[in-house]
Formats: sequence, C-alpha cells, structure tokens
Amino acid sequence: MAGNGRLVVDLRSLLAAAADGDPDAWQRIVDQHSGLLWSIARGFRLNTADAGDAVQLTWLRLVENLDTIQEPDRLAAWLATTVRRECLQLIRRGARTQPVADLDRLGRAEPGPAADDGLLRREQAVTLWRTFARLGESCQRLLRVLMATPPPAYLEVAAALDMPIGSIGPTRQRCLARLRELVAEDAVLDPAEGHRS
Amino acid sequence: MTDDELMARLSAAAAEFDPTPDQVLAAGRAALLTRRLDEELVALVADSELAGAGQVRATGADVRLLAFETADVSLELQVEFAGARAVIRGLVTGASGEAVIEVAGERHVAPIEEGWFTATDLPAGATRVRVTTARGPVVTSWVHLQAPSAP
Repeated sequence: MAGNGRLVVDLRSLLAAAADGDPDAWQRIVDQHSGLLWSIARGFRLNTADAGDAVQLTWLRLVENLDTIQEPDRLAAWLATTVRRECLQLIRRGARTQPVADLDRLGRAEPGPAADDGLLRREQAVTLWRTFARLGESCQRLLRVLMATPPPAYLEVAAALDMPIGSIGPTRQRCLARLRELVAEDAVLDPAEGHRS
Repeated sequence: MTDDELMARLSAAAAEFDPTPDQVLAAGRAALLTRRLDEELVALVADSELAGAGQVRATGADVRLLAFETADVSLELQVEFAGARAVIRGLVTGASGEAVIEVAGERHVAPIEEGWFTATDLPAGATRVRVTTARGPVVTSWVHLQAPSAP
C-alpha cells in the first residue's frame, strides 16, 4: 500500500482515470490485482513464462475494454474470468505445466533475514509449501488462488475456477483438512526433514 | 491452528516462494500504452483453435484461422509457424493501404494487395492487426499466437 493514502480505493474513478490515460490510476489497478491473476495462472500449473503471458493478455484485454467495463465492483471477477480463459487456451495450445509448488525453486530462494525467529519461520514455511505440493490437483488449484495477496473474495474465486460460489467454503475446508493430515503424516514419518519420495 | 490461520501461513509461503514476478508487474503497468485512441475495435468472431476438435483437424496442418469482423470491415487471418517464427496471411475486406501487425512490442507493416497481405518472420506473443477503412483506423482485439508444441 506504499504511496496509497486512501484506504478505500474507488475502482470506478480509477477505471475512469485509466481510460483517460492516467498511468498512476492504471498502475494502482494493476498492482492491486496482479497477485490474484498470478495466483490463478499458477493454480492452473502454468510455468513462469506461460503464466506471465496469461496475465499480460488479461491486462491487454482490460485496456481494450476500459471504456466498456460497466460494473467496477465486478472488475476483479472479470479479470479472474479472463485470465482463466487465457490459461485454458494456453493449456489447450500445449503449454508446459509444472507443479504448483515447484520444489526446485525452493533451493534457489534467497534465505530470509538471519534472525533466529526468521529462520525458524522460514523452515516452517518451506515444510508447509512442500506438503502443499502433495495435495491433489484440484485442492492445490483452489488453495493457490485463495493464497493471493490481497485475499480474493469468493466471487472472484468462483470466477477464477468456474465453480459454484457455494462450494468454495466446503471445498476449502476439505482441502485444508487434507493438508493437516499430510502435515501430521510428515511429522510422524520424518520429523527432521519432512517427507521426500 | 484454525483454517484461517493455516490459510494465512499458506499465503505467506506463496508470497515468499512464488510471488508475482517483477517483470510481470512491469509489463502489466506498461499495458496502458496499448490503449486505442480513436480506433474502432474489430472483435474476434471465429478461431479455429476454439472450434470443436473435428473442425480444427479439418483445417489441415498447424494453420490457425482467425476471423475478425465489424459492420464495415472484416479480417481473416491464417497463422502458421515455421519454428518459433510466425507467418500471417490476411484477407481484408473494407480496408486498404497497409496492415500494421503489432506483436511483442514490434511493429510489422505489410501492404494490402487485392485484399491480401502477408507478414513473415513474426515473433510469438500477443498480436493485433491495424488497418484503415474509409471511416478511419480499426484494430483487432488481441490474440495470443504461439507455435503449437508437439504433443
């Protein structure tokens, strides 16, 4: 939220300003929604290049339609629907997919701050991320979208995954329960290192 | 740990291990530069890639057919890849002069001769075509062109 003095961002005026060519308004729209779009594309298991393409296509389509967005409140859902379609088309075209939580990337991640607290938290995060990678595909997809920053509304999640809004809560609950089981299993099997297959 | 707490930890892990790449953010911010000023948008009305599987097969090899149309103008594009580079052959009705193909930050200009234009050696990526009708410039909606990968 750096540089953003307003707590409530009025999307209607941001969209209007962007349509008038105001780069600051546009940047705020992009910054506010990129996390959601990226999470959706990665939930579809697109690799970094293809996920980037899907997100970029979505922004190009919004620019194309800036004058015609009728309901600013539904902008995020519109973006979510658009990026889902772009992802599906890339997949149809033969996009190479990769696991949502790519374990190889962890080795390259820079260590966090050196404080002991930080190290411990980071270890826990690595373990959790590895365990998440063992969930079924549909659970990974839903949870990956829900991990977006800022947290998406269920309306947007429903648009992102083309699923009924009423099934998101129960599915989230079931997937998190499964994740807890896997966490518990890992702790029993190999408390020191976590499970490796 | 409640579900919400577990979810918060997952979000934090995603933010650490799989954040939105800076270049994706930067490209999104720059997308406003593609805004049309006075050009009419020519909407995509047909895409062989979105047609039923049978229809796609029927077009033969890896030629993708795209049709864009408004009341005044229509463009039919045949897109074919040779390796990583694309060739677009376009049939235009309602416009003349030249076709400007915008792709991956590049501009390619191809003359329209008897309704046809050909643009070669195009990179893959988000692509659109601009032509000029009697009433002014028009531009197609974006399509993502990409070499089909071997199954």
